[in-house]
Parts: sequence; structure tokens; C-alpha cells
Amino acid sequence: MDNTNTDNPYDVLFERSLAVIIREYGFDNIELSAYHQFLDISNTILRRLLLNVKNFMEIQSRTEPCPADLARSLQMMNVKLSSLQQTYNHPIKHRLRSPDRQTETHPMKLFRVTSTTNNTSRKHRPIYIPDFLPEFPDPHTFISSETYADLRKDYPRVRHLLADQRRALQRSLVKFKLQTNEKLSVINTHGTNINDYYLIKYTISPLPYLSALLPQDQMESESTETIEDETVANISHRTKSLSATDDGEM
Amino acid sequence: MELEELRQVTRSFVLSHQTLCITGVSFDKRCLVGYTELTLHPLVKNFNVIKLNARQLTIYAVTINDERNVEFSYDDPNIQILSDDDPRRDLTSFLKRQQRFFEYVDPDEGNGELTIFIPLSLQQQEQNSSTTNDDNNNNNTTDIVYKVTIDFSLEHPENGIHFFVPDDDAKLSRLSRHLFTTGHDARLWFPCVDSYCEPSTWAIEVTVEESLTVIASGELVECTTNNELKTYRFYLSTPAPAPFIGLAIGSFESVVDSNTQEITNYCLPGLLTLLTNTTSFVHEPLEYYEELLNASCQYPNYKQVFVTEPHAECIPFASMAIFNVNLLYPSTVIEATWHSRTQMAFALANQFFGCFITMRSWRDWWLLKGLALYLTSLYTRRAFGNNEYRYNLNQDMLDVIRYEREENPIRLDFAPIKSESDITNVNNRRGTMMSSQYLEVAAKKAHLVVRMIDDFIGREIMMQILNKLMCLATTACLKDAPLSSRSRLHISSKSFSRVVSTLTTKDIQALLTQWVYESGCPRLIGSFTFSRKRNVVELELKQDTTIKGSKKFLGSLVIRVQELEGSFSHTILLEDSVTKYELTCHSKVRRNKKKKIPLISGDEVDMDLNQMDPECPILWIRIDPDLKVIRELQFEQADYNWQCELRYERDILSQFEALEALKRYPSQNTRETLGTVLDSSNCFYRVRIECAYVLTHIANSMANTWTGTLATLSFFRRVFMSTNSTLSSTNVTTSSTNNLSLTVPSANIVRINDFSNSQMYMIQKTIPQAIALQRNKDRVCPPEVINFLFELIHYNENSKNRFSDAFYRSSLIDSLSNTLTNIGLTSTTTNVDLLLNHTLDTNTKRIFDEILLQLNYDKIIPSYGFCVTCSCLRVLHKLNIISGIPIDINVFYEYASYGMFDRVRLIACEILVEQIEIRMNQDVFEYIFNLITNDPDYNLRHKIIQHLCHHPPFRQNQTCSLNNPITVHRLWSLIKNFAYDNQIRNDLVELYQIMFGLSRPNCLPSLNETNEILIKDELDDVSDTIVDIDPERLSYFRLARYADDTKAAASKLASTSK
Repeated sequence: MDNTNTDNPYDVLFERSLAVIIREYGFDNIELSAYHQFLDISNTILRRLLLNVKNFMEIQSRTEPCPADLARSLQMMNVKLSSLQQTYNHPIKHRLRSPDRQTETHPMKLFRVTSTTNNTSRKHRPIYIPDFLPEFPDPHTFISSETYADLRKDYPRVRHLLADQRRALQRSLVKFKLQTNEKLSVINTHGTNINDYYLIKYTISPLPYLSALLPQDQMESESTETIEDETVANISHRTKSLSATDDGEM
Repeated sequence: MELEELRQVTRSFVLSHQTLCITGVSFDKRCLVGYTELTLHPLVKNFNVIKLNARQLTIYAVTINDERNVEFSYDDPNIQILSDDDPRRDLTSFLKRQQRFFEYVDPDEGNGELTIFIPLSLQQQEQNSSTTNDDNNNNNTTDIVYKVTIDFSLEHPENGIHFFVPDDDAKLSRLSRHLFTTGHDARLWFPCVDSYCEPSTWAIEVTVEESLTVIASGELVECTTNNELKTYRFYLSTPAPAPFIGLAIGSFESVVDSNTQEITNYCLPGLLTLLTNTTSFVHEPLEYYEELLNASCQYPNYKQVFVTEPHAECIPFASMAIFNVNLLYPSTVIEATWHSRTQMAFALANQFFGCFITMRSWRDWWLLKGLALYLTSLYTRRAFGNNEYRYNLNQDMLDVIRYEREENPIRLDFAPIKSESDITNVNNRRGTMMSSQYLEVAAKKAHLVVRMIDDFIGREIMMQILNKLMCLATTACLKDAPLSSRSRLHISSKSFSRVVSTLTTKDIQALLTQWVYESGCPRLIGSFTFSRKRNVVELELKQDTTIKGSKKFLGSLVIRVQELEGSFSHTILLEDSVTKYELTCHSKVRRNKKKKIPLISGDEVDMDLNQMDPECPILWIRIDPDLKVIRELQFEQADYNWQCELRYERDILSQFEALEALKRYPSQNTRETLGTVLDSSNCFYRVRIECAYVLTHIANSMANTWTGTLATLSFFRRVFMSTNSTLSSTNVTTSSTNNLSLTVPSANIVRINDFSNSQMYMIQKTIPQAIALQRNKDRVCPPEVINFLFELIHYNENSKNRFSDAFYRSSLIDSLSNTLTNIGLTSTTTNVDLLLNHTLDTNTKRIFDEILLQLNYDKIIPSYGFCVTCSCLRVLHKLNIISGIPIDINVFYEYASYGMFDRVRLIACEILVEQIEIRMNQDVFEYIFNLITNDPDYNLRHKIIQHLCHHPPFRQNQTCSLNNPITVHRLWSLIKNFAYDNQIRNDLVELYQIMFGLSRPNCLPSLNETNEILIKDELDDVSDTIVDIDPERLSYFRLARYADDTKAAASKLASTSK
């Protein structure tokens, strides 16, 4: 395929559509020679196909090709019609990830000055080092010391952390909403302007029952479907457990 | 039997079949257009006028047997009831007039708003046919059939049908538009015989847009589509009276019950998962009732529709029921289960007694209501357990007693008042004129009375009687059953007692006289002494008849004595107001205290008898242990007896009685007993919760000498909080332990939530509220408790829980509000800054901050039913009232405005009402009145008025800035305007009575006497207010009304059926 012949609109279109198909299969880059090879192959295949179609058409003494001609020619070229159908029905969805996008995640390393490498030891140099040479730099720069981060994960601490996070989240969410939404003063100020107490103004909804009956506060926990399955089994158990301590007769 | 019943009803015809056809529905214009065709069989010889019920309708034309444009007149006296402004403004005359107007249109008196005059040509035909048939007496009345067709339309209905049309044009909002019947006032939406004792078969045909679904009483026989319009045809072969015809139209989503194909549930778009969850159990009560009554439900199917803004939570109709959408709940919410299921079981019970077998008149209202509630409670007892059942029963009884003592006497027989002097309160009237609060308590009493009947004749016979009634009614539903047999479809107090006396030899008349025909309930005061010499218990029972609403009770009463040798029951006869009894004792005083003591339940327990009086073998005595009589009880026994009773008696009612009594005995022993019961895991959870409250009560009354932490607090720490791993192993017995927490070192942090054991959940939820009520010597809540509550809120962690913690969180907020006191609050400063930053108690400030945070957070991430918001609003109100924080009233206005969730609105409105009560705020009063007048949600209007009745700004004769003529006029005009909503009008009348009394309000100037006489003359004759009818004809119809004919016809009919 001659690359200089790009003025030909057919060629331009063909090249582009082929490029699109290739891209569809997930190649973001391709070498030019390989691409040209692709072009030549495709061109040849198409030419062959059209030639076959033309031949069939002539055999049937028709002037215009019909779908049957095309089908027969494809069959002759050993292409299964069903595979065409499949290609048509299942467009390419998966893309190869270009390798240069993958980033390695390096585990975080904690560097810490160990207690043994204190100032005095740093100043103490081996005797084979002449005095005029400068001192060793700070050990941080060259010692990969062992870490003793406070990673105790006892229950109260975890709970404490969790609760603090949750409360902080609540507070900041409320603060954010108060700043972005209209607000309503809670305190009757009697004209004074000292006021830190606000409520988010409510936006009237036409169907208030929807938000009330379909609460969102359970969403964060597991997927709801498994919950439902479990609960259906548990409903009877629950009502029974309520009457578990029953006794006495009426 | 039938003859007598026909005499009671003076209608001149029998309705055999009615066709209701709604040809057009418009949501934008809020109107219905349609026609109805009634098939009537005259009962009298000169049948020349038909009276039907129809209100707020436009009647276009009436056709009888193809005779078009028949003359008719339409006259609704209830519209005019106050249209001519009565300057007297007194309720006595108003009530008298209202009752007369009701009688004037009462279908059971042969009256109605719509009068149709049968043309002479038709009358002649009739006479001809009757003369030809004269020899054959049996058929002459039944041969003639009138087909009355009435074209009507209904526009902007105030009641009867409710259109829910959201304002905006979003897709979901358009999909959520729907309409439904709001109650049993059939005359408000189509012309009919609006009586409970005129059952007929029904054909209902509704044409709507294609996207809409129609649900109506009966079986869907056909559904055709034509030009984007869909026509639904229903046929109800089981005769039902007009009030029980239900209709709902909207784009409902539906789910068929997976167990029973006959049950279908409908809900608004977007709520399908909730619907599936909520209705998953409905087949259970149905199967239970059918098994219990040994009769099957007579309707071919049953539909449940969940709609917004219905006038009541649950409105049963023939073969369907309409519920409030708020009853739907997701599977993660625990609390909603009990209430929703009870409501649905109640609606189902009505498919047997209530809608299928109906009341003959409003006087028999109690019987049907009682039977339906009785069936419901039998089901809930089976579903939720005996303890829950007995607890509810006791609560109902307490409610009834409280109402009779404090408010009005309850007479279940709603007979009309005879003379003006009988009007002692607004509720002493016809059934249609009762206030909703009265009806609510009366329903509870009705249930208790039916339960008494059941107790009197025995469960088995009771079921036989109900089965007999069902069987009789079933025969009336057969295709070829004569019309007269349809009287079996309604029962009255009299017919019921007759059935009872024929099936058993027992007569329930005395029981009915005591509890139904008369009001009041006895108050028993009892005490006992033990005579060692004769080994008898000397029991003295007094009846206090001096207090309000009391009534002497004569009859038998069960006394249960727990002795050392076991439990013994004695039946005594109450004959006088003071009676002494000697009950022989079966036990001897023991020296050997090691022996086990047998209880009524069959258990044998060890008891610590050191505290006991060594001379007396009586452990405790109970009077009427099974609530067989509606009574108020005050029984005296030593604190040791009560402690024993609480600790060892297994009946929860007994434990509640003991808890109530122990409040009076603050002592170390009581404290220990309460602690033990609180801790015992085999006790019913409600007992344990109540125990926590009593413990707080005891602690408060012993505040000066109290040492150590509250047992409740240490109990909570031990059971629900993480502790040392050595301790936590003991928690396994009390369940609700979490695997995580077992490995945990010390530090008191509440465990992550696990609500899989609902009893423990309820305890965990409620106990903080009880703890929060504790007060120290200075009458304030100890800081230890407040910190404890804040820690609970801080460390609440629900991410690993299968259930929602919304109600738990709201309960914690309620607990915070329980800690608030006004002690030590001396500042009356108006400087807000000074108040908030300096004068205010730090803990109160902390609570205030927390409430604002939770309130805001709930707005961003709503909890189920906004329950956290509701609790927060209540606390804000309390902070305003008790702690003096000047909360802006606009906050409550905001939450009360239309467009909020209705429970939140209701809470906000209740707060506003209470603000009026405390602050006498004119603006708020105006706001509330505007809500009552204009709000689109009728249920809210009802609830506001009811709350106003509980918390009126002032009572009769109290001086108050609001007690002025403007308020009188305002309220009077409200009463005037609610012409179509009887229930609201009745509630308003009750409010009027509470605020101004029955006679002319004091704040009004006295009337000119001559003027008064004039008014009296003008109003005394009802017919004066009727303008449309030719007075001559009217008087003719009224005087000659069926006087002789009815009897003759009835006897003929009776002889035919026999």
C-alpha cells in the first residue's frame, strides 16, 4: 500500500476505520510497518471478497449483487457466517491496559531514628577516617532503621478511633451543608446578631414519605441483598424470641 | 326473627343490587363522573317516593325503569346546620339540632338527602300489577322491581374520596398521584343507601387512563382497553352495605402473596421492597381466623392498598383494606413490626366481623368493633405471645379507666338522646356524632366487654356462636337465597344475646346492662388480715362509688391466694359496697424453711422467707388475676408481699401490679428485689424495663441516703458494655454478647450494636431513658449519668449490625431530654449571648449542641420515619420550656409545613399546641387554626384537634388572654365549615365543650331575650329550612310514612321466608 496516495478519500477512510477497529481491540499504539501490513491484508481480503461476489453475480447473470452472493463468497473464503454474527453481537468490551499506565504500589516504609543511634554515637567516627573529612550526615539519610510505630490495635483504641472518625464526619458534613445550603436560625435573637446555632433549611419534597420510609442510614453496612435473605429467615425467629419467656395461662 | 328486624328499619324498599359506574376520573380537576343504578324492591303498597343518601354530589338526572328525567329534589340539611349564623353559640342547641338533622337524613329512618318522586305512570303500572296479582299474596311485593339510575359527578371532594396530587411535574410525582376512599361515608361519593344494614350485591365499573390501576371491592371480572382508556369491572357477589365499598385508583405497584394467591398487596411506586417485607405474613392471620371460626372468608379475594394521607391508619372495606403508607417498613426496622402487623390483622378480622357481618345500627357498633378486636387480639396473642397480649389488655383497661375517671363516661350503647337535659357532654349522643378520642377508648372497652362475654360463656361456645353467625350469613350469600335472608348479614346486641341464650343456657343480659347500656367501672379497695387462731384470711373489699365515673359492681370475683403450700383460687360474690370474706387458709406456719414452694404455674421454687412474718403463711394475694372485670384496683399488703410477688410470680400482670405498689415502699429490700428482677433473663422484657423505671423512682425518693451506683446503670454496663475479659464470660448467659467483645480489655465502651435478640434490644433501647430520670440530692441529674449517655451516643457503632439503629439513636436523644431539669436555673436574662455562653449549665449546653448536630445530620441522612428528628424536636421544645433557651418558633413552623414527612409534622404541630398551652401565643394559635382549616392532610387536622383537646389553651371559665369572643367566633366558624367531615366537626365540638362548656360562652355578652325566642321559633321546625320540596307533599310523605304499610309488608315478607 502506497502511503503517498493519501489523497484518495477511499484510502483515507479505510485507514481510519481500520485504525479505529484496532484501537477498539485495545491497542493504543502500533508500529507503522505493522499497521501497513494490516492495511494490505485487509485490502487484499476485501478485494478477493468483492471479486468473488462479482463472479457469483455474473454466474447468476445479475447486474447487482444480492446478500446471497455475499454469503456464498464468504463461505468460499472459509468464513463462517455464524462467527460474523457473533462478532456483530458481541462488540469488544475489554480493553487491554496499556502497560505504561500500570503503576507499582510501593509499600510505605517508616523510617525512624532508633534510640541507639543518638547524637554521641554519630559523632564517634572510626579511626581510619581522617579528621579533616566532614562528619557523617544525619542518620536519617542513610540508615534504614527498624520501625516501632505505635500500632497497638486493642479494642478500645479502635473503637475510640472509629467513633471519633464517625463523629468528625458527621460534624464536617453538617458544617458543609450549613455553608452550602440555606439555613435557619434556631435561636430567637431578639435583634442581636450573636448566633452560632443554625439548622439546614428543608427543601420541600412532593413525596416526603419516600425519604422517610427508605432510609439511607443502613447503606454503609454490607450489601442489602444478603441482609434481606437473612432477615426473611429471621423474621419468624424474631417474633418467637419475643414470646420466649411466655408462661402463664389465660 | 326477620319480622322484628324489619320493623326496626322503616325503609320502604329493599335494595338487592347496585351498579356503580365511574366513567371518568380527572386528577387535575380532582373530579369523578359516573352513574349508579340501584335495583329496588318496594315493601309498601303506594310506593311513590324513594329517599337515598347523597352529599357533596352534583346530580344530573334520574331515570327509573327507562322513564327519563324523573323529578327529584336534593336537600342536605347538614350543610345548612349552621349556615344561618346562630348568635347563641351554645352547644346544647347545636347538638340538638345536629341530631335532628342526622335523623332527618338517616337511611334507617327511611330518610335521605336525595328524594326521588316516582312518576304517576310508573305507580299506576305497579298498582295494576298488584291488583292482578292480588290472589297471589306471596309475590305481589317482590314482583315489581325499580331500576333507578342516577347520573352524578363529584368535584373537589372534601371528604369521602381523597385525591393525592403532588404539586410538581416530576415523573415520579405524576406516577404517585392516586385517589382512595377515606372512610365509611359512602354517601359522600356516590348516591346510595348509606346504611350498615342494607347489604346488596355490587357491580363496580371504573374507566381510567391506561397507566392507572383500579382496586375496588369485589372480584375483578374483566379489564378491557379501548383508546388508551382502561375499564375495570368488579363484581361483589357477597352482599355488602354501601359504607363498605372501597375504591383506590393510582399507578400502584403490586405483589401477590406468595402463600395465598387470594391476597394481593398494592403500594405506591418505589416502595415495592418494603411492601414485600411488610406483608409477608398476611396469610397467617387469615388462616388462623378461618381455623378459629371454622368458616372460610366469604370474599373471593383480599386486597391491601397502602396510600398516603388516609384519614386513619387502617380502613377496612369489603374484600379490601386501605392502610397508611407509614405502616410499611424495611426488614431492618424492628419496632414497626408489632404495630403494622396488628393493624393488618385487624383489617383481616374485619373481613369476618365488621365488613362481612355488619352492625345493624350505630347502637351495635361496640359489638362488631369488639368482635373484630377480639379476633385480632387472639391472633396477636398467638403471634407475639401471651405476655404481650396480657400487657396490651392491661394497658387498654387502664386507658378505659383513666378516660372514665378523667374525661367522659363511656356508654357503649350509642342510643340517641331523648331530651335536651340528657346532653351532659358532647359524646353522649348518636354514634355518628362521637369524637374520635371517645371512639378510640370506647373500642378498647368494647373489646374488653366481648372478652368478658367470651369468659362468661367459655371460649369453645363463643367460637361455636361466632361460627353459627358466620354460617347463617354464608347462606345469605348463596345465589338463590331470598332477599329477606340478607338480614343475617347484620347483627345487633339483641340478636347476639338471643343467639347466645339459644345456644347456651346462659343469659348475658345482666352483663350487657352493666357494661354496655350503662357507663362507669368499679373501683375496688382491698386489704387483708390473717387470723392465726382460725387459720383464715379475713379479706375486706370496699367499692368506692364517690369518685367520677365509678359504678357499683355486683358479681363474682376471683381471689388468688399464694400460700406456703401452693396457690389457691377462691371465687367470691360481691354483693355490697363493703364486703368481708373469710377465706380458709390451707397452709400452716412452717418452721422448716427449706422446703420448696409450689406456684400456680406448676413450678416449685426456693424462697428466702427470712423477711416474712413468721406468724403468717400468706405470701401474696391477688384480686381478679385474669382481668375478668373492668376495674380499678387498690390493694394493700405489706411490702414484703409485693417484693415476693414481683420476684416469684410468673404472671406479668401481677409483676406490674407489684412494681406499681413498690413505688410506695422505697427501701433497701425493694432495691435489692428490683435489681434481681432486672437481672433475671427469664423475666419478660417489659417487666424488666418497668423495673428499671421503678428503680429510678426509688432511688430518687431515697436520694438523701442513696449510696452506690444505680443498679440499672451497673446492669447496663455489665450486659451491653465491654468489660474485662474475665467479667465478660459471665455475660454469655444474658445473651447479646458479641464475639469481638470477649477478647477486649477494660474500658467501658458500649459494644457495637447487635440487635438480633429483640428482647435485649428493647431493654438496651429503653433502659437509658430510665437511667436518665435519676436525680441526686440537689434534684438534678448526676453528671455521671449524663456522661454515660453522651458516651453511648459517641460510641454508638452500627456498621456491623443487621438492623437499623434509628430508634435506638432516637431513644438516646429522648434519654438526654429526660435529664433536663429546671432546678438551679435562676437567670431570666433576655441577653441570648449571656445566656448561652455563661449562665447556661454546661451539660444543658452540651445537650443543645448535640441536638442541633443530630437534627442537621438527620436531614442529610434521614433515619426511618425521621424518628431522630421527632425526638430532637421534642428535646428542643423541652429546652425551650425548661431551660429557657429562646428557640425561634419558626423552627417548629418549618417542620410543621406541608411537604415534610407527616410524623414530623405531627410532632411539630403538637409542640406548637403545647406552646399555646404554656405561652398563650396568639400567632401560634392563628397558625394552628389555619392548619386545621386549610391543610391538605386531613389526618393531620384530626390529630391536631385531638391534641388540642388534650392540651387546650384554657378550660371552661379559666381566665386567659385567648378566652375571648374572637376565639369563640373562630372555632364556631370552623365547626360550621366542616360540613362534610363529621369526624373533624365532632372533634371540634368536643374542643368547644372543653374550652367554653355546653352553654353560651362566658366571654360573650348575654343575648337579648326576645331575640332568643325568635331564633328558637325559627329553628325549631326543621322543615322550615327545607326550601326545595313542596311543603304539602313533604308533610304528606312524612306523616303517612309507611305507618300501616310497613307492618303489612313486613308480615307478608316474614311469612314468605318462613
